[in-house]
Formats: sequence, structure tokens, C-alpha cells
Amino acid sequence: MRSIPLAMTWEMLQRGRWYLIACFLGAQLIISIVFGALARAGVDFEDPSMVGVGASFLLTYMFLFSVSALGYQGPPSRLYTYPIPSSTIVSVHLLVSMASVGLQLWLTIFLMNTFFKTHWPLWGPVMFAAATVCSIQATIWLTEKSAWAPLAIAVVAGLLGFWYHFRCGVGAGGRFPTVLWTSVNLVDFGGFLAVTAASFVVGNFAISRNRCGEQLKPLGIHAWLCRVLDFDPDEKALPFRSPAEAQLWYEWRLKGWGMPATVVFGLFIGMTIWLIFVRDPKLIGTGFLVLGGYLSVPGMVCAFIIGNTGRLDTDFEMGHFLGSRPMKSAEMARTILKMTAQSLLLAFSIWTLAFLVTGAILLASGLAPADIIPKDVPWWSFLAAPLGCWAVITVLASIGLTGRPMLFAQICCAVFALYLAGVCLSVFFLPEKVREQLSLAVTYIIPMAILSVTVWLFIAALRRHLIDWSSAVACAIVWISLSSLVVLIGMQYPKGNLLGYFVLVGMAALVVAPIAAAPLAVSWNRTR
Amino acid sequence: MLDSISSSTSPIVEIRGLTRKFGDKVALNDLSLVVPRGGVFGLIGGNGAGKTTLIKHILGMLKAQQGSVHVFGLDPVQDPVGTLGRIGYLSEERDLPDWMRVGELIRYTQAFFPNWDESYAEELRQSFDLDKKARIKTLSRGQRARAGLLVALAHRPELLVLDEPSSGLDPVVRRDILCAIIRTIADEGRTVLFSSHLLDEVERVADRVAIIHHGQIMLTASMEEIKEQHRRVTLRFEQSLDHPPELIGSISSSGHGKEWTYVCNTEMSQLRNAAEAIGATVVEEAALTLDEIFISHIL
Repeated sequence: MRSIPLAMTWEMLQRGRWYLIACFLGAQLIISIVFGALARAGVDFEDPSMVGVGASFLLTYMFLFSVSALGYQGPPSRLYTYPIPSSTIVSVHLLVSMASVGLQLWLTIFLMNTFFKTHWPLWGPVMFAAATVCSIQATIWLTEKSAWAPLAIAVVAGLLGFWYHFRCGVGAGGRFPTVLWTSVNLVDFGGFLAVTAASFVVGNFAISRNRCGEQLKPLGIHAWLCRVLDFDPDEKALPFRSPAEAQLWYEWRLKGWGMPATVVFGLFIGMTIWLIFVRDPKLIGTGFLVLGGYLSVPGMVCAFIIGNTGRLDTDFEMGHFLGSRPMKSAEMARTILKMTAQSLLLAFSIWTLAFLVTGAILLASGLAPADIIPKDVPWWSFLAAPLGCWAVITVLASIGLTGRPMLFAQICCAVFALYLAGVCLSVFFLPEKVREQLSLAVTYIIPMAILSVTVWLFIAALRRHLIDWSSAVACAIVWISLSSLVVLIGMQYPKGNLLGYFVLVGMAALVVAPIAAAPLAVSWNRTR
Repeated sequence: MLDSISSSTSPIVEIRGLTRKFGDKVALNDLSLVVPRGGVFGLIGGNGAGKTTLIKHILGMLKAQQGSVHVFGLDPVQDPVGTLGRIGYLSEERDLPDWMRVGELIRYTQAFFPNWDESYAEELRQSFDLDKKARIKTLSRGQRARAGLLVALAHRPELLVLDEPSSGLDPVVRRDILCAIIRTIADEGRTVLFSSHLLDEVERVADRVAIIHHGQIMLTASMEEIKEQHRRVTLRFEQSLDHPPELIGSISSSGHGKEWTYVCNTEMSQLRNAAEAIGATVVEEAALTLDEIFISHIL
């Protein structure tokens, strides 16, 4: 390659090809599941009420694609020692980000318009996304290694967010989007150009400065906080009684904070949003239920922290330090599962305590219990939320514990690409009746596959003496109990069907599968 | 080449016909090695020779694709507690958790080793000038190596495994590591296995040496044997020669005309007889450094 920009572009795309593919396919998976379900429910996508959904989805995908673009490019510092002008580093990085985000969003909108007839606008959101990623990237460089970074990024993202919402009708007569960014006028175009040009100028200044090792002047708050909080809680602690206790301490100190911190952060953000935008006491309970019910979503991120036994955040292969512990792999896996259970227990305890205190205050202020917990919230959802969270975190953590998450990401991408191709082909080549039967067959195959894989995991773990028979029997009892509970609860719902039971019974296996999967994963990672 | 020297006690590490491939690349090729109990065993080889791969097999972090690995007579993959509990290990990457404090690292590591000697750990901490409250991430490269060495030594392991312990370190830390090795072998019956390509260090402390190249053991013997058997000899011939004639035990040769210099791995008396047989006289002979012996074997 004779051209520096070409070589840089090749390196970035080579480095991030799997991120790009995984992110794009993941986005298509989520959107096709949501819109597929809505289409089945007979929702008209041209209905004005869908404008808000469309605007929110577009914003979410801009965010997702931008994060993937900023993630795969890597730090520009890797190029500082090459004979490349700072302006070239800036230009190539920004252009590649803009192109990849713009192209991914363009393709997403095109596919949505083709398959779901959503009539989403193409150029407004695409150009906005490209300008946004460009400005955020320049801001990140400008505030590199500085405590100013979150504030600066929030200000830039906030200003651009206001612009987007304003163009969707928010603030000009409504609280929610009323139109999509259908036409790009001269002011919009000028705005995009100005934001992009400013980003290039700021980026160039930032990279030239960072290259010399200079940074923004710190306020000293971070250093002060570090000094204040840097106490040693274990200074006078007694020695550990066993390797398992020491390992549990290690895991807890390193990863146990994840879920409790997520709950505290979620409560803080939720309360702030409620105080500023909502201020309706009747919605506090719903907010709590949403946080508790969807805790498995941030749990997915925590799962990959829990499942990482590598030396670096990006390297899941078990390092020498952990690998050379005189401890059985099964015991190491057990401590990780135990720490996850403790972390989840603490997280849901914080949630429960906060809910109870808030509920008591609301009751004392005259609200009826039905205003705090809506009547249509079933009792079993309070059991399903922590169990679902446990299943999501431990299954994903087990994948991480194998030390080969990229292998699983590639397999998932390949399966989903096949699924997408199958769906597309079936739309064009198969009659509707056959398509429905095929879809039904796939819905049966998934829980069957989950059950089969779970059984296989237990057999493999037993054969390798990674778990004992009593654990396997206990897991079987838990699974049978959960399945029975599913059937008992299902009997309360007259519309419940066999397929629904089957899917839930399959999913229940995910609660116990990690008991066998985690030791196998640790063993596979530790001894290669 | 298997070690010919028999030991009265069972070997501490016994590797037979070990082969390891990473994709198409053969990292270890039918390698056999015996590390006897007691003393310092130096494993020397260039970059990518297979030293770390071999050590990872000894620690049970890699499973033998072919052949067998036994440490203390046990399979390290099947019995990590039985083997790793008796090994002190310092990795080349100084892979220690950045977030821990030195005191926490000591307390955490202590839990895994019933033989942990608290007073010895404290003695080492003080001699290495390590602050208990300091976080690992704030330590210099040399201090990190010292912290790693502390937790590797404080349980007085039967086998101390050091993978490139001195790479990238200043002379003071290198001296600390060498002193630690010497102190460890001073405890009767203990064994040190260390890999390095800093051959002057190996020469200073190793009792036995194995040269590994392209995943195979080229040579293994005691340091004395190696030094005695490897000689550089210069032969003078009566007539000028275009190519050097074959000489028993020669590893490499250079020169021109009537004088040719050989690096040989054989006894001196045999060498003289062989030189006479091809019509040459020995005009100069010299002992070789380990560095020269290593280079002559791998080139």
C-alpha cells in the first residue's frame, strides 16, 4: 500500500471488521424482532403514533453504530510514532467513522423501509449521525485523560440531541416526536457542514497536542477524590482461611460491585429524570418495576466483566496469575458463580429496600397501594426478574470464561446471518403457509436446543469430574420445580398454549446450565 | 536428547515426547527433558524457541497434544493443586493484578500455600523495599518483578520456575533475582528452573543447562560437562585447503588456507587423535563461553 490514508483505513477496518458485522447484525436482530412482533400484532407502521418509535429507534442506532465505530478504531496514539501528519490521522479517523456510521444507518433504514414499509427518512438521520460521531470523536480527543471528558461529551451530545429532537417536533408544540427528519433543508446542510468542519479543526488541535503528551489542565477533583477514597479496608484483616475464601475475595473486589453499582446508578438516573421531567407520584412505582425488570439488560455488560479472567479488558484468555493458582478449575468457577449470586442478591436487596422505603413514603403521603404497584403486574414477575437476570449474566459470563468470546460472537453472527438470509429467501420464495410452519418449527427448535445443550453440558462436566452427582441432581430438581411453576402459573392464563410452555421450560434450563457450563469454560480456558 | 545422568531421587520434571502445535506452527517437537531434583536448571533458547510453551506445559496451562508431562510425578493438568501448590512461579509478563495493594497480594497469595512463611515474606518485602500499601499499578517494572518474586518465594517452593526473570530489568533487580535463586537452592533439595536468553546469568548460577531451539532440545548437560566438552581448536594443515575436512564432534568451522578453526563437542584427547588422523596439528585451543556454545548450536 503506497498511500498512508489507504493503509490506515485498511488497518482500522481489518481491526474492526467483526465489531462492525456483529454490531450491524445485532441491530438488525433487535429491530426485526421488535418490528416483526409489532407487524404480527397488526400495528400499522404508517400510523402517526409510530413516529416517536421511529425517532427513538433511529437515535438508538445512531448511538449503537457510533459506539462501535469509536470502539473498533482504537486509540490514535498507536499512530503517533509513525511519520504521519496529525491532520491525516484526524481526517482518516473521522472520515472512516462517518462513513461506517452513515452506511450502517443507511442500510438499516433501507432494510426497514423495504421489509416493514416504515417510510423512515434516509438522508436527514444519516447525515446527522455522521456529523454527530465526528463531533463526539473530536470531543473525546480534546478531553483525553481528563476529568472534563464526561461533561464535555454530555454537553456536545446534549446540544446535538436537542437539534435532533427539535427537527422531530419536540419543543415546537409537543413533548414527543411528531415528525421524522424527512427533508434536509439548507440550514440543516449548513449545520452538518459546520459541525463536521469544527470537529476537524478541534480534532486536529487535540491530536497535535496529545501527540506531545499534553492534556487539558485537570481540576484536581479526581486526584482529591482518589486520595480521600484510597483507604485500605483490608489493612488489618486476618489471613484467609482457605483458597476458596481468598478467591471469592479476589472476585468480589474485582467484579462484585458491578450489579449493585448498576442498581444505584439506575435509581439515581431514574429519580433525576422523574424529578425533572415527570413528577407524577403514580409513576414512581412503574419506574422501579421497569428498573428491576430490565436489570438483565445492563447485566449483559456486567456478565462480560464477570466472565473475563484475562489480563486485559479486551483479552479473555486466562492470564498466568490466575492460571497458576493452586486451585481446581471447578472451584475457581464455583467462586465466580458464588460471587455473581452475591452481587445479584445485593443488587436486588438495594432495589427492594429503595422500593420499600419509597413505597412507604408514597403510602404515607396518601397514595393507594394500587397506584404504586399496578394491578396488572403479576406476582411471579418478582421471581422471574432475578432469575432471568441470573440466567442472562451467568450464561454470558460462561461464554466469557471460555476465553474465546470472539469465537462465540462469530458463531452467533453466522447463525443470525443464516437466519436473516433464510427469512429473506422465505419471503420471496415460500408460500405463506409454509413460512408459518417453518417459523413454528424454529420456535420449537430453540428451546429443544437449549435443553439438549444443557444436558450435554452436565454430562461433559460430570465426566470430567468438574461437578458431582449431587450438584447435578440438585440442578435437575431446580429445573423441574421451575418448569412445574411455569405450568402452574400458566394454568391461570386461559390463553396459554403448549408452545409458550415449551419455550419457558427450555428457558428455565438456562437458570441451571451455568452450574455445569462455568466449570467447563474455566477448565477449557485455563488449560489450552 | 535425554539427560544421561541418572539421579538417585526421582526427577522433579519429566517430559517425554512432548509435541505442541499452534495451528500449523510446531512450537514443541517431540521434546524430552528431565529436570533432576535440586540445583539450578537453566533453559536457554532464542525468541520463539519454545521456552514459555514448555513452561506453560509444566504449569498445566497447556495440555500435551502428544507425549507426557509429569511434575513431582503428577500430571499438572489433572492435579493443579498437587503440582502448583509446590511451585513458585514468576512469569515473564509480571502478570499481577494492578488493582491490588502489595499487602493484599501477599495476603491473597498466602491463602493458597499452606507452607507460607510469614516471617520470610516480611523479610523479603523489607529487603525488596516494597510498601505494603502501594498498589501494584503504581510500582515500577523492577518493583513489580520484586513483588512477583516475593509471592513466588515466600512459601519456600520445592520448584521455583522463572520465565525470563531478568528481561527488561535493571542490574539491581537482576542481582536481587539471582540472589533469590541462590538463596532458594541454599535450602536443601530445592530446585530452580529458569529460562533466559541472558546467557551470562545462566552461566553464573545454573548447574545444568538445556538448549532449546525450534521446539527441540539441542543439548542438555551439567554446566561443567558443557564447558569441558566444548572447545575451540585451531588446526594447521600441511597444504592449503578449500574446504575444512570433517572432524569428530565438530559443530561448526571457519577459516581458510592452511588454518581452520573448529568448535567441537568432544573430549580433547579424542580431538587430538582425530586431528592427527587427518594430518593436522592443533596450534590453539580455548574454552568457550556459554554464549559461544549456544550460538554454535543454533546457527
